[in-house]
Amino acid sequence: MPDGLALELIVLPWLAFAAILDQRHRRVPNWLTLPGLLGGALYAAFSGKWELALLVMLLVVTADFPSYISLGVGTAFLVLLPIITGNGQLTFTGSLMLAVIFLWRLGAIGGADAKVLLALPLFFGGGVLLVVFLVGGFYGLAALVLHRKSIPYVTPIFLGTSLYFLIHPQF
Amino acid sequence: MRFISDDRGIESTEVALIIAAVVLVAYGAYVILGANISSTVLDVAGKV
Repeated sequence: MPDGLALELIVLPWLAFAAILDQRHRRVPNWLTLPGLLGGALYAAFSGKWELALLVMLLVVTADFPSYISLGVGTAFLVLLPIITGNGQLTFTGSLMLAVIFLWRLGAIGGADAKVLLALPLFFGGGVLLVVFLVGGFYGLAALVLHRKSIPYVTPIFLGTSLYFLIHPQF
Repeated sequence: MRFISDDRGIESTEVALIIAAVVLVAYGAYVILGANISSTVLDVAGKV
């Protein structure tokens, strides 16, 4: 299973390609995002973070259900997880993933953004999302100054992930 | 499924700013209050 530098060399070109398509079309096709999400779930499952793989499956399967079901199932899972496993370390990452689905349900982010944002913590943990969100804020600020109402969000996701790799090298 | 088929990659600038602000405030609160929250929880757990 690839890890460290090999994983960076797979994920960064994937994100860069998605960012280019997003810049051009404001859409990222599912044939690009879904394998990333599935790959992330498999990677998490086989690297000892099966709880996150299970959570992302629950979130995706219940995403179209009413809010009280999808968010309720996710929240219940996160509350029960440390009790059942005795390990609360993945609660932080899981909470951020639940927040991503919440943002998608609100219509605040697109489905492609949500899939990419859900895939990243499966590979690298929740810290990468914090950096991505902060870079997204700076990107949004710049767009606001330029009087743009919307931004292709996969670009700051790519930039934020690259910055995260510089701060926390994976090798 | 709507989530699976949704391939939009767009976000409003305001939302990006709000998310970043929430992350900053939450992380700041965690850094400032994290140790106190942890000790309070352990204290309560000890009394229970």
